[in-house]
Amino acid sequence: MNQQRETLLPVVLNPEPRCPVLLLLDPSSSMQGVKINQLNEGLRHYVQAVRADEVARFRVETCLVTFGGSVRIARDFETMVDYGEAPTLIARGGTPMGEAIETGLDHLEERKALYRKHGLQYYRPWVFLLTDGEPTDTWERAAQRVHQGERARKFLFFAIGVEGADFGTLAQIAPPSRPPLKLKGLHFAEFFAWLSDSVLTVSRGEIGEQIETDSWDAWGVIPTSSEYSR
Amino acid sequence: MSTPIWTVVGASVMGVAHKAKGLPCQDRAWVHATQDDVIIGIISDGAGSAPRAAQGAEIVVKTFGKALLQVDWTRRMTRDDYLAILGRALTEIEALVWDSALTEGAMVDDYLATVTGFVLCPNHAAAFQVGDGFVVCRENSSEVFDTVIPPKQGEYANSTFFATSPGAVGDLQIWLADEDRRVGFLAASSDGLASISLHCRDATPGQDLFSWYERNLCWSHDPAVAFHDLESLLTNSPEINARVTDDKSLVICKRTQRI
Repeated sequence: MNQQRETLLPVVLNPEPRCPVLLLLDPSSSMQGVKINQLNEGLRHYVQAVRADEVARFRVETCLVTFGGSVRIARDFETMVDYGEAPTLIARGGTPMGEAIETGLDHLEERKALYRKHGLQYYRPWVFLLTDGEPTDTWERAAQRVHQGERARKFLFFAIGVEGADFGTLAQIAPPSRPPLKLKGLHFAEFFAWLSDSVLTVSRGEIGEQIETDSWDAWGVIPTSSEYSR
Repeated sequence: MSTPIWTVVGASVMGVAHKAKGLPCQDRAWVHATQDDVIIGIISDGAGSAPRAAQGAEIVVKTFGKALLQVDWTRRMTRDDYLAILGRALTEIEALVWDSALTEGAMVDDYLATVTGFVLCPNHAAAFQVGDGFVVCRENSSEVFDTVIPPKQGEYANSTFFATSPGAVGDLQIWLADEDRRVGFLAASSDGLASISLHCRDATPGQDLFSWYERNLCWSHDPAVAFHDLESLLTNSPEINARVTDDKSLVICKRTQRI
């Protein structure tokens, strides 16, 4: 009898419909200290929560694109089945937000093409931009793509600004139907808990079904007009 | 005594969903190896919604087993030969199900069960099916696995065809290996394992999974040892049972020597 079998995990197929989640995260130098620690803690909670759900772990695919100094795909689209630990982000560098948005959206389209190639159904992707600053690169084309993508129902785009973020620019990047929200204080944990609860709900829904997610009151507020005009 | 050409593993286990509902295992698997190196395998999957499906699966396996054991496998069989043999078996199954239904005051549809089967001879191979199981093969000289009998779905989601239904011969799928090709590996399965084994778009097999089976299963010539190993895998594997809650039947044959 074979006592030392190789793990089956990588070889069993997973035909579950996919729920792609793209996280565009800002670990620029201004996030140093408590902010980046809270962000990392929130990410860990998100990974654990999705992995623990017997449906979501096979359906939710999460991609992390970071833009601290340079744009990096920190984690490609992958279900939580074999995800391992969440990456630990280190705060450094500027904020190439425009490039990060375009890189993330390009990657998302490639992933959707892969789903179609393999006959996998998928839910409308969620894209989250989380930043505490302003773009240090050109962002106008990225904003256009966000608006066009939303109009064409290619994804749902959420822009979330942490204390100190340039909400004026964020409001131009975010789709008009969904202006940016401000994270309450350092409520990263609450945000990622809401995110994991929301994707768990969506991933259990039927394809095409309208899903109601919990309110974002626990972690978000609408920015004040003074926060828009910096 | 010469080494048998084939090693075979086979098992049929209850799914966690059936266990939770207090249902019996409605799958049956039967394998027989003759002294002439012929392997006959039959799997039957009882419909979950049919109250006497386990009985139906039992009737299917016994009837096909009896029919195929009576064949002289030293001569090469044509498609028409298989159609005749399998057709007679299906006719006999229909009669047996009717008799059982009359005796037990039940409906014919209470016994709904599929059939997925194969015959492996040293120099030729065939597989057949009425239902939504599948058969995957690898040629002896190749590393690539192919689906030779794909699942056959009915009009609606989760519907298929049954060997116990009247006129089942009209839904019979038959595959014969090409005359100049020798089978090196064959796996027959009920639909329980389809979701983790076949790509949903085109029912092609997951190459890595079937390679894994070749490398990792216990290929003992002692059927009891081999059965226990596969049964243990299908029953206890967290990777399989997280994805598959239905009853699972799997029979795999491997040629002992690559030619």
